[in-house]
Amino acid sequence: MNSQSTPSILLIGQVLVDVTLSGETTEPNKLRFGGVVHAARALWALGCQYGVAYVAPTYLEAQLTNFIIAHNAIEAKRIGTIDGSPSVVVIRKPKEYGPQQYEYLLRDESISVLDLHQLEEVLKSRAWTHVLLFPGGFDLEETLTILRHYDVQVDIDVNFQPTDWSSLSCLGRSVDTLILSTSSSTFLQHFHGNITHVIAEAALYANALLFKENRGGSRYYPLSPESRELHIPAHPRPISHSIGVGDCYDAIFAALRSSYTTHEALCYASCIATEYAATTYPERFRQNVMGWMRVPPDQVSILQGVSLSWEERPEQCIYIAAPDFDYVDRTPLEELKEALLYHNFFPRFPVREHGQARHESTATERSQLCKADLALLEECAILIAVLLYDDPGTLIEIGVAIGKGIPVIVYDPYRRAENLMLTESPKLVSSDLDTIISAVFEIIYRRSTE
Amino acid sequence: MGTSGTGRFSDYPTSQKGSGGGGSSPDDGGENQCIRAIGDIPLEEVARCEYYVRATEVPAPDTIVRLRHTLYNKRLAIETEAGEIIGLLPTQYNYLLQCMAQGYTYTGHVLTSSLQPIPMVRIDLGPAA
Repeated sequence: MNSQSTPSILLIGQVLVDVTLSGETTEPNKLRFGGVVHAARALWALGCQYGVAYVAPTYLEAQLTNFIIAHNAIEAKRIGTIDGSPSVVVIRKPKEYGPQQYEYLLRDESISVLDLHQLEEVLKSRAWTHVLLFPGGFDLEETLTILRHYDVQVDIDVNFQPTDWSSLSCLGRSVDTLILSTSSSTFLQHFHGNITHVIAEAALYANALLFKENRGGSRYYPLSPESRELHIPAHPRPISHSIGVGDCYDAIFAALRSSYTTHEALCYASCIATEYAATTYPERFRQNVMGWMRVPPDQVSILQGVSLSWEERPEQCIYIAAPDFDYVDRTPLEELKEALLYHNFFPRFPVREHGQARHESTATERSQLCKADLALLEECAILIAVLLYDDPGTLIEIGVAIGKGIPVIVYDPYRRAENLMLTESPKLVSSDLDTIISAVFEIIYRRSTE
Repeated sequence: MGTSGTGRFSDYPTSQKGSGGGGSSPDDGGENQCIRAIGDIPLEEVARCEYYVRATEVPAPDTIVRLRHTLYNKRLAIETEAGEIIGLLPTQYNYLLQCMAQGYTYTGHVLTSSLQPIPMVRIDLGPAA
């Protein structure tokens, strides 16, 4: 690290066992330590001085402690126990192109018991400069009540808990950075359609808000009147998973911000988080982190990526061209819709909005439907065609859009596209929904900056 | 009838490959993205870059190109051997910036190019030997 001052970071959080099912891929199932360990991997890869105070079932303790120490932590201590649940999470969709399907085994039976004495022991054992706290699976108020007696910067990732931020007042001072993500289940509860609501609430408890927006980048709000917000681009690319990527971002930012400007630290964090998503092999990840840290800050901080805020996304609608008929199996279409809505895009479905032509429709009715669909296409910034079969309407809509200069993406779930014009004319043809979603971010962002 | 499954943690330092599945040591896997060749990359902003602005044409197929070592207009850029910018790499390849910081260099050639309907260049790119 290019450090002017060496941070010493204590991670506090629950450890889970992530089981990523291979599904239809040729990859084997992956079984990894998850939860707070994702952040630990990031700090290990960075070469940062760090420790982990974790909550986990006792059956994991021996392997877990060895694992963390083997990843160069200076401290690894269990500060609480989980009973009633193995703390295993089964992951069917590792990529966050839409709502991820996590199955937390026996979650409702999970009972955590925090050992406050052990937490105090960890806090006293070193001169920690930062605490990065991932609430969830243990008592936050008790933890903060202990932390209030220690002179240490505290960052809290509130993605999972608490839903009611008033418990943050137990710290007795402001949280340094409150971290929230659009991937969070609680995000919309605080958003209320406008980021100003989140900022206002965060200002009650924190000095800064870090708002992560998935493939749309992130925003950093110093919660003081004289400071300017920062916009950090994301760098979307084909990934292998999305699990723990946000935690990695948090940890890198916490580790680098004492050595770099806030903007630089966030830019490094954004680039490195993308590397975390690109592989599940720690050593490969570490090499790529070292590569990024060799890139000078004046380069990494200007590197252009994608900055598309949550609020901006629905401003440019997306025309969905597909045989969206009630007699067709539209499963891929529904998956696309779900994924687009998850990222707050605004898909428009012409058949659903204007109706479905029937054999008995009159010529006038058919003409009106056609005109209405074409008018809708004119309103949209992008067209996504879903190739369920060789539907003439879909293919014509693709041609019309290209003729009008509207970017076209073809989602080809069954890999049907072989025709030269179909494979070569659109911006992208892909059977991978994750790739489709990344392309949507990229294209809409580029159009918004033209 | 038995069970199969993930026998051990996949990235545990003492994990070994073998029966049970899912085991692999942290050092033995993961593709090195920096040594991967990339085919058929459509360059962006060709009409605004140095080569086209000067020549009002695009480089012919098989023209040798390379990845510029420093950013150009905040982006990774492809240039000729003479150092004239032809176009920008799509941002999904931004990771090549850290690969270059690791010491890799990248060269390639123009695959196809055309002026209509807009100036367009597609290239192949890979790590230099």
